[in-house]
Amino acid sequence: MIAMERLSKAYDGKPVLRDFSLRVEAGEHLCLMGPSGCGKTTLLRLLMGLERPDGGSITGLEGLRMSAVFQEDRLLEHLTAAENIRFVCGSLPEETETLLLRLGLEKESLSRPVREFSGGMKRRAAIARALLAAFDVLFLDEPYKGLDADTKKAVQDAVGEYTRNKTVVLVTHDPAEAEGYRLVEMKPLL
Amino acid sequence: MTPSTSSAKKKRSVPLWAAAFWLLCWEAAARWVDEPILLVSPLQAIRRFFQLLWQPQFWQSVGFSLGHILLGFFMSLALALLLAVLSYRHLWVRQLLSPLTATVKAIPVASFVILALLWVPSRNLSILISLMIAFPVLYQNTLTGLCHTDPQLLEMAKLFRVPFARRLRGVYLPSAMPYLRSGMNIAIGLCWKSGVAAEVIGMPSGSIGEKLYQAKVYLETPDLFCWTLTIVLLSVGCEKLLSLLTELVERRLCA
Repeated sequence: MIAMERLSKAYDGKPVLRDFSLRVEAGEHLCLMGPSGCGKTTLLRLLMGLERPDGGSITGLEGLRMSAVFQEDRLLEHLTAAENIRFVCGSLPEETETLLLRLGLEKESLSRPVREFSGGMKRRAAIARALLAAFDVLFLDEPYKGLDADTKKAVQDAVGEYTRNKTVVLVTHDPAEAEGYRLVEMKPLL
Repeated sequence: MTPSTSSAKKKRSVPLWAAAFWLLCWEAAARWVDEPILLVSPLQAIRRFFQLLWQPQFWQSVGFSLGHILLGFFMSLALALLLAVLSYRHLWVRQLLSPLTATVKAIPVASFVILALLWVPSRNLSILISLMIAFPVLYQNTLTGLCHTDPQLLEMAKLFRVPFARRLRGVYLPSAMPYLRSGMNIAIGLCWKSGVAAEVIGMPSGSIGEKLYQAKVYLETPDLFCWTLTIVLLSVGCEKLLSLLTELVERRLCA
């Protein structure tokens, strides 16, 4: 279980999180929702260990392998989608091509560097990378942004399949994406 | 080759008509002066150049200067890479080195050469001078490249626990290489300029600098032009070869 106890975080003196507490059970799928600026991404960054809280503590993440789809794609632009996957995995997982095709990337695109991809293709490559990396906890920060309805459905199905029995923390503004997730509403600090 | 790189190359290279124009200007000036001791014509210079090519001493001098200047350059490159990485990781190293690099950049080559003559034998002078002159450019460019590494990619690599060697190939090198490549192009030219200047002042036996000085003393103006042409060709050749080498290394490492 991941436990966040009385977390506080401020940027340039402006508080984003104050005394925030939450527990996520192992294997649970949790969705954080709330208006922009309420601290959802900040909370994810604290959980991912990319920032330290000003106060409070996070326990239960020790030794767990993490994976993520960031708000930005964060791909190595000079590499292909498969090479980006190999970059995080060390070797290429067997199902790489199958998953990339399943997410709607065309076969001919697999030999091209991702800098030649459209925004939607890059998004799917970033999602495939996150799903193929070995992980215990997956963080998804608005992962379906920029995907059309059909692609989004295929990607959501793949995410559901690859995250079975694994802990997932999803950030989204779309209630439809939160189906099957425990919903936590976050409010901006006054 | 993509259309953009092809057009960029076209823009970079010297057009043939422009080179021909300036050669004609040189020929016209030589005819007007009509005094080969003051100004030889391009034809005379080229004729003399081909005569020198057959002399073993020419190749000995080329080998001597090329070896010394390249040794200085590669020593400088190794030192610059090491210190740039340390400066990137530790602010105090960067702060410690900043007055040193600023001073080295500001000191005139001639002062350096005369000072260095007190410390090293004239035979090794061009190694030290090439090393010192190339260092600030190589160091600064590598450091700038490293500082331009995308922090979001570093965060991604950290989250996925990508080992340092893979991070170096995938994130740091692609970011630093364009800066390093441009630094190397500038630095190799500087090495030739300063290295030969050091040889002219220190006059180590069997160097291009010595030959250049002797040509001046004995008023052998065609030789003076030939040795200058040789230096230009060597400098340009080294620059092209380095670009090719860097491209190969980059393709191999960043793949």
